[in-house]
Amino acid sequence: MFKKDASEASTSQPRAPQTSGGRAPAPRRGGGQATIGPSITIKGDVSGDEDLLIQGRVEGKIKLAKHNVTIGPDGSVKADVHGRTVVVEGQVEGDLRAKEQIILRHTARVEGSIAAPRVTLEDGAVFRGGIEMDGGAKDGKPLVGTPTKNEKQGNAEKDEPAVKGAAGEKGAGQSLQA
Amino acid sequence: MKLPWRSRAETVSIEEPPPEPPGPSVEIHGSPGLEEALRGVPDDGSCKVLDLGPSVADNVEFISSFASYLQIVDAIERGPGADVAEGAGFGRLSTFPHLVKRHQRSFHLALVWDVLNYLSPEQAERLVRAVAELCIPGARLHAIIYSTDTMPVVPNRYRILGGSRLAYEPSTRDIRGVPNLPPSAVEKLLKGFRIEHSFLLQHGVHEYVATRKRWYVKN
Repeated sequence: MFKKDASEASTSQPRAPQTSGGRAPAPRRGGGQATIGPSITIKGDVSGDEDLLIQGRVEGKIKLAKHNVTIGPDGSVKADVHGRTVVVEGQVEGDLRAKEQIILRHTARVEGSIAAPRVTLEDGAVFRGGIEMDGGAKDGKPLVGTPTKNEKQGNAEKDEPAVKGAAGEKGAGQSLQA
Repeated sequence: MKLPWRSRAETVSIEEPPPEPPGPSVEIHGSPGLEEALRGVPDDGSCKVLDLGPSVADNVEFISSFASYLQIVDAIERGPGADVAEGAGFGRLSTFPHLVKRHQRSFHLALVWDVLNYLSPEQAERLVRAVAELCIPGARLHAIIYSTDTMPVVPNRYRILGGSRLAYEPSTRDIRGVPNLPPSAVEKLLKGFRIEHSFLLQHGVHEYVATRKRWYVKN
């Protein structure tokens, strides 16, 4: 069922999928990644021994614990996905689990839970659900004061709190206008 | 002799497209409420966080530095074409507790940013009740509530900057009136929580930090 791509045989990292403009991709030969083309719909479990790129629809379960799974921008998955690395560029409704890393690209729309040692979520990705994390505080990272990318961009803080106090304290609460 | 390109230049006028109107601007403000709320959560890597807002890359990165679990609810539609009617997102809000796996229903921190402004009082009350039931006694709740005359028609996206500041990222310039939620009403609304701190910021936003009561009677 799956075709192989020779160009991807030498790498273990998931590659950006090739979009095919709505047509099924040409057959691939002699490589390490299978493709489910945009015109393909699979209902049932998917398992195997090679990386997988999904540009079509899958409903069921995807179990490729030792391999990379990529849901391409045209891909739509209603299934639990288990891979070594899982990259989402399309739509997923289900739980994602990876041994190494899960990446949600900016085009991803995911509803479900995520569990992986490393989770990368790009801005623009729409995600609803739970993310199981390692809990970085075990490594001594501070609760407050962790720098982020945006801070390095030099945006200036605009103001400080005007009033501090307990709720109902004089001055702390102001009436609002409807 | 008239050169052809010159003649064409004389007759063809190239109209430049009108400049696009500037998008809504991002504002960065200090967040003493967030700073205070973070002080009250466990720092041993066991912390579970409930975020009623949308997924934001920097927030996930920051929260992952101290939490073991993050539940993102993304309660209210944002962006162009979003249904901006009051309570538009409540359908999703009312069902989200069922999406939280049973063994994860013990949150230490709830981020309720810009949600209560966009719900009817009844909806907001039901939401807070659901949040209280998902939080453990002593859990912190950090709420952001507009106290100006107007607010964006759809909630802002908030980006955590280092745990003490927030970037307010509006998706529209359109504004609407703000429902009347004075501190006394918020205190009443946050049933199951006890307000420990409130901060009225200069730009007209009120931050509340509340603690889940030990005893909480379900209605």
